[in-house]
Amino acid sequence: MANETRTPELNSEDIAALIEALRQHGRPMSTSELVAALRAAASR
Amino acid sequence: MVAEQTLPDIAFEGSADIQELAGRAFQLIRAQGMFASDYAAIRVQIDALASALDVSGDELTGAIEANPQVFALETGEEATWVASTRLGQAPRPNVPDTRHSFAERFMTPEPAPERPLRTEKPVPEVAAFTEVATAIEDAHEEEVEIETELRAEGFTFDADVSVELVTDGEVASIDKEDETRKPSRAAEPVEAPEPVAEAVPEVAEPAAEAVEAEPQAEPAVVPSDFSGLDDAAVAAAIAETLRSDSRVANFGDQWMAEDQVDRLSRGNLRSLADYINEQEQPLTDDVLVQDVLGVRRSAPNFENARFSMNFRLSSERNFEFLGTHNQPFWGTTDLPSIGTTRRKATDIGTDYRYLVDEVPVGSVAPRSVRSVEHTVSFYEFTYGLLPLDASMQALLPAPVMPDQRSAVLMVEIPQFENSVYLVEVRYPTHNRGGFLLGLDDFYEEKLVPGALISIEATDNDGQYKIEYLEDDERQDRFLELDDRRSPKYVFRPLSYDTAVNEEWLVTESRFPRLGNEKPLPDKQRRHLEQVVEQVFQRIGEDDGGSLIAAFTDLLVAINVERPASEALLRATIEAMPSVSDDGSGILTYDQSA
Repeated sequence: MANETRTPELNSEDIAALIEALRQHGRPMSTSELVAALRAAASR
Repeated sequence: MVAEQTLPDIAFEGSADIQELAGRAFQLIRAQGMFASDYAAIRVQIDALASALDVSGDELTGAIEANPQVFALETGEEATWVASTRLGQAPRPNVPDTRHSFAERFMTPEPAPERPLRTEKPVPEVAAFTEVATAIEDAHEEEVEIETELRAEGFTFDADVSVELVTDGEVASIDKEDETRKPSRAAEPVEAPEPVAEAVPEVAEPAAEAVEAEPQAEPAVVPSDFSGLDDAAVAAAIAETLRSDSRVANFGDQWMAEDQVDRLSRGNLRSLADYINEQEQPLTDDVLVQDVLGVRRSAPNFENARFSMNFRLSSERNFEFLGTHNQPFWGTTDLPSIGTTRRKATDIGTDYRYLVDEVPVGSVAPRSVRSVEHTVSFYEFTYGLLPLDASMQALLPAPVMPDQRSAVLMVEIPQFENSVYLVEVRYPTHNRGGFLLGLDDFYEEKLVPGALISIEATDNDGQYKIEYLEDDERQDRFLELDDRRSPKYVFRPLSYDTAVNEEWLVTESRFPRLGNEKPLPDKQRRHLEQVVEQVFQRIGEDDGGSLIAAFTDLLVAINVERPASEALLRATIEAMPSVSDDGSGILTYDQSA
């Protein structure tokens, strides 16, 4: 089944996970890296 | 010479005899000191004075003592002196007052003011407004009562939050106020209404516990599940959300925690601007970070330094981002503008306004084609332009920044002495079309209006190549805009050796009547119908009172005055009752219609 293409809304937990990922990385991250980080955080 | 001598008006005290004697004594003293200054003391021995006035010493002493405002008696070792001044005032000691002087004031340091030694700052006392505190307490109690009553009636509220807490048993990321309230609701059975008096202490206790336990109550972060969603959709959501979050710094496609981004000093900013202005052209972020900020490419912090500079410069008013993803150029507001000075960029944008409707935003995928073939029109040739039409938008990159106005590209023309031009892309706005400018020198040196060129993308989205087909050298008389004094069109001989689109040549043999015509005023040029009418007058052939012209000729001649696409011209003439199309490509303009 094809993935959905609608733009989801991020909740406060998602944003916190993204900011945490940025802080831990300590260097600039691309949007695709952030997508991967968010997916990884969700799977944990 | 004394021109006038006036006696001071003195009112002597005492009886008439004493006054008369004092007056005579004063006149004598004054005569004694006729050359004295007004305030100098004039002294006369009292015996000599009494003798001169022919009175006894006691009589004179009495008169003197009765008028201390006029006389002073000075008793010496050998004699007694009567002293006065020419102004009739008892003399005052003429001693300089040295109690205060500027020199002394400046030289003598002011004594330190008396103040107590620095002590700890007093702890401000919090004023306790008992009335307010009581009112708040009452309000809380009332709120709890109402909640209890509502629950007793089976009414639920704020369900989305409280249900999560009860059912999951997890601590969610909630703010402090909610933390103090939610446990109380969770602990309170919905079905069991209790007396109000008992409900109050129940509320107070967990609230206090929640506040005390705050440091350990770090909520566990559990992000949403995005497994069923496309990467692009998640990326769009991330970009949309984080762009408005002040804790996150964003530049282009890159993100960083704001508190980890380096700051630029005023000196850094000045050096960056000076360096760009000295080079007289935009420079890439790599060059600026290495040459101005002194961070080597191999340094571990190079990436951070480059992102930090890009992010910080993006909020500086006198810097402008003019780059693409692969070639992030920075310019300053002091850099000379790229391209023609014959027409203002904003006017050119207005001329291309029709592109805003023809190519709606988002209708073309940027960088989706590798090369574009293009015929240079007279208008484009004159101002060194290329239109940012659908095909060019498909070739070029989209703006990197949301509010980016323009980008500078490097365009290499290998066949033309390997020259490299800086070409500025003006992105479309809501009321101006987009275009590229900066090719005027190349056009003038090598091409003619009607020339065919090919613009080719490279792997770097900021670098392009222009190529043309070489051909036998030919000569013709081409139209030019002579705008040195009063602007007008003239035909001049030109030789060219590149391939051309014959349909787009504006030569004297094809449009002889364009010579010496003046450009239409801007007001008229903005209305394509009026340009069509004027161009019919210039190129049309008389056909029994009407004017006829081929559609192609009309399109080419209109593009002398202003840019217009074939689609725009067709739509315009269809709406003009004065112009008819017989289907063979010949248009008829009926001037009386």
